Amino acid sequence: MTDMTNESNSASTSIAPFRFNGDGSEYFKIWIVNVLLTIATLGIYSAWATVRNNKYFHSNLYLDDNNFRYLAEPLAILKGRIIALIALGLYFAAATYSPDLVVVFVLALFILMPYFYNQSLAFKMRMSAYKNIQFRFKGSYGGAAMVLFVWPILGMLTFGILMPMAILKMNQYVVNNSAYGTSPFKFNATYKDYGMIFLMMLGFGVIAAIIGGIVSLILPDAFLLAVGPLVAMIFYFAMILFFLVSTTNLFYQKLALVEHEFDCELTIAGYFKVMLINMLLIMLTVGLYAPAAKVRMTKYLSENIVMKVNGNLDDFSAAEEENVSALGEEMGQVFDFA
Amino acid sequence: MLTIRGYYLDGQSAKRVDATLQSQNSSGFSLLTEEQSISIECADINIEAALGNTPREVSLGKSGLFISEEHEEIEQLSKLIKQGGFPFSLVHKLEHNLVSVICFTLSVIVFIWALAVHGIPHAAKTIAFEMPEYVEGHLSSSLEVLDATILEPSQLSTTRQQQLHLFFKPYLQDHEMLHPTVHFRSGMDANALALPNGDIVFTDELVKLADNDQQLVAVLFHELGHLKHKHITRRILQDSMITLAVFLITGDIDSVDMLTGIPTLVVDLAYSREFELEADKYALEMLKQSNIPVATFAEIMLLLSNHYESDEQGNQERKITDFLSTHPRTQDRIEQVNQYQQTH
Repeated sequence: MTDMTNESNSASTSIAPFRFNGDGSEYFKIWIVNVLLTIATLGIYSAWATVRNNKYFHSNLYLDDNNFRYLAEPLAILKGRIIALIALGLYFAAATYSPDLVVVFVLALFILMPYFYNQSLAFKMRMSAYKNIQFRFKGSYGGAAMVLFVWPILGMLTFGILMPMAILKMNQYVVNNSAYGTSPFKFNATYKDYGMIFLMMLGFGVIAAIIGGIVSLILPDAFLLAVGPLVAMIFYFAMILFFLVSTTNLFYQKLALVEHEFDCELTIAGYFKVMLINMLLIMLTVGLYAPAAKVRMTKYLSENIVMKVNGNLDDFSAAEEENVSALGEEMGQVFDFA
Repeated sequence: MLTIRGYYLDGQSAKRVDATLQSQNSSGFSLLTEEQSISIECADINIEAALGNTPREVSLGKSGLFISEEHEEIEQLSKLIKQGGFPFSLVHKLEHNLVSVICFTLSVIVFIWALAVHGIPHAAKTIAFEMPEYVEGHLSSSLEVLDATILEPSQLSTTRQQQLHLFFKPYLQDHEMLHPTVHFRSGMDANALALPNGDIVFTDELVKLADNDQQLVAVLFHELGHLKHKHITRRILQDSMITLAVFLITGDIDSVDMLTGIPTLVVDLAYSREFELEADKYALEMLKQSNIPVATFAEIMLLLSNHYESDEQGNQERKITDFLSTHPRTQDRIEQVNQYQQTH
């Protein structure tokens, strides 16, 4: 009996790859037209530009030969953006005229932050669709406050021991409250998974410190002063890269949509190559390469993420209609917390 | 008769079926799938604008979606029912025209150049001189903040400090509207700085480095130049304006870090060097007015540069940091002194 179910399971599991069909030069054209129209309309077109940019990245992303879709209306984004800009203006006005008002403003922002965070995620999800079924997110104020404030503060108070927990709680909050149509997502990582990444980084740090200590005894001081800061910078950069790659891999490996699972196999070398080429070309072109760089990064990520489909991807159904405003998204962008 | 092949998603389930969208005689359209035929009125059809080479999307009714790769047929359809998602249909044409893309690129470059070189500095200057003084004071850190963080009390003797205060006094009297107050501090290498509220700080190391007190007056004039031209306020304004401009232009916060971090820094440093030269020029004018040899300024610059050069690791490094430096090269600053001497 057990053998039979195992067999039928393995037979129906197939790998569905993600694929990004976008093209750097094609996106550059779209991007530059957007930039110019935004300038020419004194920023008003920026809402339409955002929609078009997001559409390009959604529509060119395929899973199992079906593409995603971005649904947001420019006017909704424009409205949110205007309100957010007014809030930003009020903040600056308050900042210049009265320090007391700034305290009130910042306090209000902190109180509203979990709400805007939820709204922002809900908007992003609702505006994304796959096979004409929308994603959704339904969080609670308390849940958002826990992962935005309480867990990170606990992580810091415990000198990082609970930091892996803070990251885990954050991902659990986002994933477990998300759904594709009526089918919920699930996040299966544990404290140990994230703890291992932190422990490895700690280990690398200790090893680097020991090697650095030995080297500093052997080599002359003048040489160390010249090369030391550079080596330290490279090490720091490598650590960031390691963290980014390991947490991204872990995220998708532990992500599940009902009985379907995901896998992600980014490598530090692969990610580094994409990032290095992008950074060099952006610098050489004073920013003009940025759109193509975004395409290159998206291509790399989608090539390395797959969905392990258990059965097929036809058995999903849509959830009921629901209105979500773009205000949370824009507030989040302007005040940099989303 | 128009026939477009594609597939249909009903918006209720994720099951995709092959479908054909067909025009009927005057009565509208029908969607044919293997199992059924749905008739659709023109008013229920909504064609999404074309975007790059992505498949065309046609919304049918409230939740249906028809997707097709047959771009030409979709164009015919949009002409037939007079739709095309304006203004994106026009935008799509602009994106596909090489000439317009090149023109747009050049315009963007020229615009951003003009904004960075003329627009932002000009606007910042206007605002800085219109700004009430009490607002200006809030913009940057005060001497109290600096005292609490990096600066330490001066080690100079009280007599030496008083001697310098007395020596500076006549030169400060011409600048009373800037409320200048000279302070001596240590904790930093040879340096002098001016804060928008009029506080001017000399470090002990700078005082010791100078050969004579006239050289310190030259530095004092340079700092007064910063105050007179409201350089700190203008620089703060310019930096925030660049950030705001980038946000408005790209409308995309995600890309800001990578896209603008480096260019913004380069622009900011260029502004800073420009201000230094402007302050230098002011110092030269004031020296001449006060009957102090203009060359005094060149002397203290050279002393400062030699002082820092001896700390440098190698000359190779220097070349790179020049480009990314807040101050102009000493050579350029001394060149300005020579030019000034020749022309005045």
